[in-house]
Amino acid sequence: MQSIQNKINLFILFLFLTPYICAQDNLNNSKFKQLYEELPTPNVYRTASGAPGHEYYQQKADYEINVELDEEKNILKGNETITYFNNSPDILNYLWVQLDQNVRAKNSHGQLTTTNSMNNKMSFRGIKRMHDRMNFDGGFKLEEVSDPYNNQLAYIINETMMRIDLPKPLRQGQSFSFKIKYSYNINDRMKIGGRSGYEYFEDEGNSIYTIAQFFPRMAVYNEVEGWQNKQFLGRGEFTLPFGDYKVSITVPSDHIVAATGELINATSVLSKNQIKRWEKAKKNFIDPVIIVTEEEAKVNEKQKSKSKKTWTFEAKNVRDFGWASSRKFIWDAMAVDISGKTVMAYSYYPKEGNPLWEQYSTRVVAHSLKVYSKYTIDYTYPQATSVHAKSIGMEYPMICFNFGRPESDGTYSKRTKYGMIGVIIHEVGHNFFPMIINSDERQWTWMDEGLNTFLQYITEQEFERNYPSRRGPPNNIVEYMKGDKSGISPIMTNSESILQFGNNAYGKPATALNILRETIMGRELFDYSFKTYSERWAFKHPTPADFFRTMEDASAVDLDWFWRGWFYTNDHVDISLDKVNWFKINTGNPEIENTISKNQEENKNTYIGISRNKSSIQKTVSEYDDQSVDFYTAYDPFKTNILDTQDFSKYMKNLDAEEKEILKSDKNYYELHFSNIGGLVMPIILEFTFVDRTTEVIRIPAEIWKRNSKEVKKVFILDKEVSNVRLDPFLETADVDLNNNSWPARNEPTRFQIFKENEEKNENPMQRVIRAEEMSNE
Amino acid sequence: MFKSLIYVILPLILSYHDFHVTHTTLHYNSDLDNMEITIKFAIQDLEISLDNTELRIGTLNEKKSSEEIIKNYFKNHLNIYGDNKIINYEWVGKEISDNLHDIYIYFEISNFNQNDKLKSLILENTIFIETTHNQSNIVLIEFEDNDYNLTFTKDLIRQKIQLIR
Repeated sequence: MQSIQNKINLFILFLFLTPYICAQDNLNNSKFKQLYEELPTPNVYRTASGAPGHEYYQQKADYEINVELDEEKNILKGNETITYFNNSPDILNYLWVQLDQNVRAKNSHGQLTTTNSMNNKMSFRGIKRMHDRMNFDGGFKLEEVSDPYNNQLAYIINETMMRIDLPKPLRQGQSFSFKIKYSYNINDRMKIGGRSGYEYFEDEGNSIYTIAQFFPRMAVYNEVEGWQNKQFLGRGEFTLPFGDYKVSITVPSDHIVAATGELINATSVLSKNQIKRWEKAKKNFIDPVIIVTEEEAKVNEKQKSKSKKTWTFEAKNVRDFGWASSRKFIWDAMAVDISGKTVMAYSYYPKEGNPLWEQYSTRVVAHSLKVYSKYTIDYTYPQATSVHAKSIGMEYPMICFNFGRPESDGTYSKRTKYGMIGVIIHEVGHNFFPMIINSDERQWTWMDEGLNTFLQYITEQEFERNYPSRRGPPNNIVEYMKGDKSGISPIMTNSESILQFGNNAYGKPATALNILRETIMGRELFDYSFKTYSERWAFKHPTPADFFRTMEDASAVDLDWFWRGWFYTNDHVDISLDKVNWFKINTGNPEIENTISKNQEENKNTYIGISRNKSSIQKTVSEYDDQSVDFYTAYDPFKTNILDTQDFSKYMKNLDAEEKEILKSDKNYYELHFSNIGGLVMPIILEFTFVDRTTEVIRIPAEIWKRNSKEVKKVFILDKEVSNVRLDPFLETADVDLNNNSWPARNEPTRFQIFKENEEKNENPMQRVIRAEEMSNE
Repeated sequence: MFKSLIYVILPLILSYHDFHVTHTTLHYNSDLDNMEITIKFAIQDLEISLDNTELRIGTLNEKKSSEEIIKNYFKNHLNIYGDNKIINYEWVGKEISDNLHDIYIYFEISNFNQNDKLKSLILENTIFIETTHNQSNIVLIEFEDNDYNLTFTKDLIRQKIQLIR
């Protein structure tokens, strides 16, 4: 890449913006082709603007559930009454009910379809876990499926799905109630894993139960999937209708229970003191108030009560229900003001979670509710709860289970602290995506994880300046996107088939949204559109098309190219600045141009013999013999004569005022050549640094690639001479190769090289602290 | 006894940290004739594989022995052969990522190119494969003007590439 100063004529210059036109196999393969073929046709249920249509409907399922925890045997026994409302225009002959616990049944499809292999390096523990998983007697054991009058209903179980055949067809506006009596063995989370289960503390004989998917749940029926009865294989999470819940949970009387919804029988399960503290917390917007203290929890831990208590909770308009129970729980609470409405932030944790949990958990819940409410909709549920659960992060409406356990000596690493704050923000954030903006998780992981991870990043950055976020900034996704394409799948891939789950469904969509917000749309247009999507689809079931369309509809930014590239392909961003040509206008003035030409002639590289002859030949014949001189010997082609001057005045007379102005301006014209190596079309962001060290940033929208997505040229008219140019100077496009982003070319050192250079120069900060400690000990 | 039980962490179905990928870059530095190896992975995944959280990797209280243990782990789980002969690589250092979740470790092979005679590479990569469900290990080799992308999983732990010259 070299700069060539070219002299050109004024009138040629403006013909330069000529795009190439590529004809490829006679089809429209443009990266800017609209998504008509990919997106479903708009209809009365979902409009072309991305909003619910005038005949949008959704089903409703209400639950009354009674469960009892058998702590000795780790069995949960339950019975439930489900009332299902058919709001669809369709007649239903059967209902599908989800039996998620069956994923842990012996020989379930979830287990059979998990590929595994043995190798000679397998650890004893790895083998033991295989045994534990295969031997666990999991899954729902159904005792009875009947109508409210105890008449048995016909049903069939297909793995994690149960079809109940209705005695008579269910028409629009009708409802149907049925009862299920069941039990299941609760899994030891620490041995065989799982989103729910228990953690057993061997030294004291107590457990923390984090319980979910604990009751047969209705599947979603809508105009997109019919019944969403895709089997639960472990990865693709849950798709559930909204409804009202009343849940009674019977546990040992010294347990404290946290759950979705509101406790409606506090007086029968809490002490007067605890209720008093709770009332105090409801007015405390600054600090958490402890309702069940560590001392009380320690007393409970030792009691091992054999008597039982029943905690009853109610929740309105939720899509699921989760709860946690333990005699180890400390409970604190704080009030949060969401647009004038008071919402409670709760945390439940064992003493093992302290000191981290009492300091941060509830504060982080409160902060998350505020930030998410700002960018989506006001949090409408009465409370949000964070429960301490070792090594997982999992979300349910109003309640989530989060990791973050200090060492047994009460110290903790920076990683544990920020990991815990991050996971609480993330899981509380799931209240918005997908608990309220209720996308189909079984089908699309990115719709909740990606959108949530995007807001998690914003919430983390508002929690602490330069919070060590894992996902969000474009340069964090580069490693993934430039990797082996056979190990990457497009974002628009079903949850079960995703390769590299975390990068695909969390990192890449979160980054894509960040890029839309910061670079493509700008914060104002993005934030309004994102909020519009949230408002339109709160307490409804959105699809990807509804999201894509709303973001365009509310912003007037055509984003089809962006969805196509970032969501439907595996392409990455690698734009290369190939060449920079520098032009100045030929003024036509012989005085000026002849001097320039003369200088150029003199500065030309010359053959060495000619330079040497200059001194070695003292005089040539034409120099000492006047008689050998004629016109040609003396002629100076760079000398201006009167005719040249006359021609120039004529030329000037023919120019109009505007043209003269351009001629006088003495601008620099830079023609830049770009090529698109990665495939993704993206805006071209350039920083010009001039010889006087000042800089100018020019941002060109991605549409520069609209006619040729492989190569483009662009001319920039600048006052000053440029000394260097950088492409994507603020690292906002996820360009995977920065070595082709500069003129003059420069090689960015690799992380390895930077590390090694610093290592050689000095010690790392950790070594320095250790050395300082050693010195002070001496 | 109590401790060894309580520190058993299992990387199973998680909604949050449910992805287990390591990234290895082998970048050939032709000026020095060195192969520069960078491996990025989650600290937690290493702790699980070593069955050891006592090392306090990446904290101020990190055990002095940790570097040796990490080095040995990788020497056992990442083998590089040049024209069928095993190539030794040397420890350069380690560095915690800004996000605190990941760690970068660096190794180096000197006199890599063997006077332009090197024709093929074999990589055996079993990093975390025995302990982590669905582990994938992504390797990018940048050698002279060519890039080679490889993905290793429990079903594919050994791959060979012919170097293009």
